[in-house]
Amino acid sequence: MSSLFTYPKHYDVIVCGAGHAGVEAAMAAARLGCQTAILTQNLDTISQMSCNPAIGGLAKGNVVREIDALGGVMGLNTDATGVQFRMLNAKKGPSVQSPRAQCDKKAYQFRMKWLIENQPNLDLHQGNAAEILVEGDAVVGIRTSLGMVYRTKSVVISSGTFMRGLLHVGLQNQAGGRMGDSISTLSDSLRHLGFEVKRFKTGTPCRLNGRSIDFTKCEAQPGDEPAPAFSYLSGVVDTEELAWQGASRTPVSASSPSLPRHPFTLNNWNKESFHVEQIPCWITYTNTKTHDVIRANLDKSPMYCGRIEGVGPRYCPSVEDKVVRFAEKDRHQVFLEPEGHHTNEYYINGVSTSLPYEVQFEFIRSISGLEKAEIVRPGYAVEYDYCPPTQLYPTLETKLVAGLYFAGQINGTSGYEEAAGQGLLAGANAALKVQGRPAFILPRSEAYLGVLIDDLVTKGVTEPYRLFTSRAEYRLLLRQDNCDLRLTPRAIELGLTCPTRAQVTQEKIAQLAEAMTFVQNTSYESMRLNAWIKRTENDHTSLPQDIRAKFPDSIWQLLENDIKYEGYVQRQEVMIEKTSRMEEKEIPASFDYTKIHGLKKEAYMRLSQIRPATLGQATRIQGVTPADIALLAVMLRKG
Amino acid sequence: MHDTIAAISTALGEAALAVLRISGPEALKVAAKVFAGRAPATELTPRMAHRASAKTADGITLDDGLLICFRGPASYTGEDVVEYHGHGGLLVTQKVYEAVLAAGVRAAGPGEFTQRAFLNGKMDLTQAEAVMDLIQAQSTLALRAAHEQLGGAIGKEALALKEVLIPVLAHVEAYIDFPEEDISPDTGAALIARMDEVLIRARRLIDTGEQGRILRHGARTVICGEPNVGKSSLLNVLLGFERAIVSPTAGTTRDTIEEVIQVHGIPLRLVDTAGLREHSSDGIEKVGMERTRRELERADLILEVVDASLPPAQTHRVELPEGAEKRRILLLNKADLGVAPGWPGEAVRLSCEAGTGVEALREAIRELVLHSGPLMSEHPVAINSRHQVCFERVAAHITAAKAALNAGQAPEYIALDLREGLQALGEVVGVVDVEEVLDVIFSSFCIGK
Repeated sequence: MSSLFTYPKHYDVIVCGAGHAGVEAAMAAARLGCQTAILTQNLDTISQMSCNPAIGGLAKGNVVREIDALGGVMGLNTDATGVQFRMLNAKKGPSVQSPRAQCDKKAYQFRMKWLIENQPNLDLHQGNAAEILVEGDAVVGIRTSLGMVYRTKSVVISSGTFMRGLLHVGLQNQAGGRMGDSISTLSDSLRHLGFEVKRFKTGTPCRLNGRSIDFTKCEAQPGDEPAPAFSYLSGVVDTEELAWQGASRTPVSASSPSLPRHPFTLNNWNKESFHVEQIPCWITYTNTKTHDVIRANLDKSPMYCGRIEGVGPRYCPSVEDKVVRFAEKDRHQVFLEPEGHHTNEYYINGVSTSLPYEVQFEFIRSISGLEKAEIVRPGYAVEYDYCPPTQLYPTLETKLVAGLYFAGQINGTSGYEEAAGQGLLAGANAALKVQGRPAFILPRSEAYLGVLIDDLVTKGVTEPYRLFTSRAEYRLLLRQDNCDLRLTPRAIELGLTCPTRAQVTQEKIAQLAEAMTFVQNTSYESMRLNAWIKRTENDHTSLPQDIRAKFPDSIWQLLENDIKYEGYVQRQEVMIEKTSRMEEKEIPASFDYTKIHGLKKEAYMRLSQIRPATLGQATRIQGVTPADIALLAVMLRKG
Repeated sequence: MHDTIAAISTALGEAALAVLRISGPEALKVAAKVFAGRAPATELTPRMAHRASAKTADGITLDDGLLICFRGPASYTGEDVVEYHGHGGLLVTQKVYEAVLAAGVRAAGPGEFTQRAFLNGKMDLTQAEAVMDLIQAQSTLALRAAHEQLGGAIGKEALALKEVLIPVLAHVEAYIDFPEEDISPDTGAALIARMDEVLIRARRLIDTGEQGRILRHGARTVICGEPNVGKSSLLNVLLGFERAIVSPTAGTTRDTIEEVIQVHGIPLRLVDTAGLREHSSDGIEKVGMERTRRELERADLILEVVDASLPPAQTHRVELPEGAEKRRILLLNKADLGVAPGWPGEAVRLSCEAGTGVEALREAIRELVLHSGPLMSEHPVAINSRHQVCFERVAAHITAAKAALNAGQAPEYIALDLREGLQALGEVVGVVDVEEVLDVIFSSFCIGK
């Protein structure tokens, strides 16, 4: 590198990559008061939804609400730019209900860019990170492919699928992080620093022009009315104020200047209502003809002829995989998802593929309603580099290089929500470390984000990791309606959230306590009101108006969920209590496992590789037995 | 907070006394549930011995002994500790231990009491090495035992149960996590059928618990009959049999002497042999009679001796407790001198003096114990108390999951009990990871919207 230019401003935190992980990381670090920069290849693709135009879903929706409760931006931005909102599992119990939204893809991106631009302490730079600069064992800067050097105290890498990305359409392949975008070579730098780097694969289906789809042959899937919003601040304050607060830590007063409404804020929401002009999704099905076409062309699928080495996710198989593995099924569901109000593009969910263009063309046109469909973008598979996440501490800082953090697909995860959650925590932890403050680690019993990160750093990944509610052993406590009660107090403490959110949450907590006292001291139908609510056949909506009017519906609903499932909740709390001492017992990062004589070899290998942060984490490492834990406990005490 | 653990602290099968120890935050509460005395354990003066009797959850008295409570940190482990000093009989101790475990206590792991003592600062740092050696030694033993169990019929059955249970959970989880998918996981009747299968098989395993006790500790065998019919001669005949390895030496308890012999590989614990050995004076015989009556109630096998030369009408038969006939073998002693008419044909004819009919006796014992008595079952191997408690928890959780399903509860509450059931099973077969459930989901259902 001949001439290096060192940027004059030195940063506390630099985030490489401006996808869903990157923006949350940058916003969190900036909100905590760190001088932060976001470095991206292309400022026009901030927060791009590279795959489907949807946010949320089972477990993921809870994550978005957790991000929101921690002051993140994903929830509010979804509410501002969503085109369809639904509550999944509405007929099941409260802990497995989850919000999901279709978004206007471009509105989501441009509004996010605007939020970032307005965030104090946050700079934007376009550039392709090429090398991580390390002195001693700590990160000191980033060098871009154009030779620009940015000095910094810490770095968050959120590279998505860009590191050595390889795109496959049939037997053709080309380098690229996403169709139309170039790759990043940052993984070469990581490998050079000593990181283990591996390959994963994922895929995306084709996009169609909506004008060429015959929707009369499809079933409509409308949004819920009223639309369930993501953010706990939704409906609390006006969009304008909200954007202002999201971008500033200054408390709002009557004299605050009101920012103009952003053109990409599509939805109208204020204290009274959340108004969305909803667009339906559509459902159609593949058929035996579709399957015949796919089967006849398997030899042209890079997956089936060994061209793709990376492991793909089992829960998101390509359509060729579905046809082969579930040969007995004569049809598969296909969702047609609109990409926004101002585009005719439709995302064809369920037919992710890497078959050649002509085969995609043929099988798409065999589907009912898509007989005349025009493909505007073909589906493709992408292989990319990731770093096995057991190389991280639970703060998402790497064990190898101090001040270097990873978030999102680089950790072997998939999903916008999983990425955003990691971004927020990586950004926050990078900032906290710079400020010399204690790390922010969420336990498994308090958040899906805690489950996600503990799984990653303790067990590692064997396929792109996605959250399911079944991964959370304390699922009944991690409801989508109580993320703010669980997490916002922590966010307030850390300084991650704006004063409005703090105030709203504190009021809600007080109101809930008041409501609880009320139902305990009020008689109804010759019993205590809480006992009445506990009965399966009763719910708060059938209470007389004079009682019901005492609290808003949202408080009644929370209360009802707490009371009805009290017994189950208590069981989960007992389980948590049983392990709490283990979870709290910290293991120093420098702990020498060779000191434990008689530790089984497997246990020694695993423990010294993972270097668990607590005794509790150690218990979850595969191949570590209770006797090993007992030995470890004794040695920790001996010191 | 630690959970509460229990273990029999004295070596099994050797001592006259057995000490059972409970440690942890719930120790006193659990003791109050299991042991009845002048006051519940929670109210007893610490560090003082109190009389108490151990009872099952149904209120059946198992044993009488002494209870000593220690309040943490002034105890061995630094936590609340309860010690129960009971009779050293293996069976009694085992029963009391099972009752304590059933009251919601976990069986202690290798070296766990000492480990807790150390972690709670009750031991010097220099003792750490010793503690670790203890944990290692004990875990090696436990590991070996576990491997033996897993290789055996129980391990196989427990693994089979897991194979049935995981798909049940997988279907419920798929129903929860993939509402948008075009899949139809089993619900209702199909799940109930599989849960029923688990219940039946778990209960069958639990029933072998009693067998296990007999195989490990010997069937309680009581010799009874009128004075001078030849009970002590019978005892001498039996003592001539091969000694069972389950109990290397004859144990002495406070008021009985027990011997363990072996008949066709079945260990028999000869109970109340002290009374038989000292039958000379009437006074002692009376005390012995009373004791015998008590023993008859608990016996697995009753050997009733009568004088063959006297007809039934002139014989004063032993009054058996209700239902005990099935466990009794009638022995017509002195049969070499002629058998009086009226005795049933299946009664065993023998002569302790002449040594005849001994083979018939052995056959009769084997027949009764294996085929019509306590060991009657298809299961050749039995489970230990820790496993028994695990399987009982499996059964309890599956029952609860079934009830939740029948009551129309939301799936995640059904899943909670299924998960806890699998977790209990995991204590026998090793931890059941969520990945195993996900594997079943992804291989059974085409997920991938």
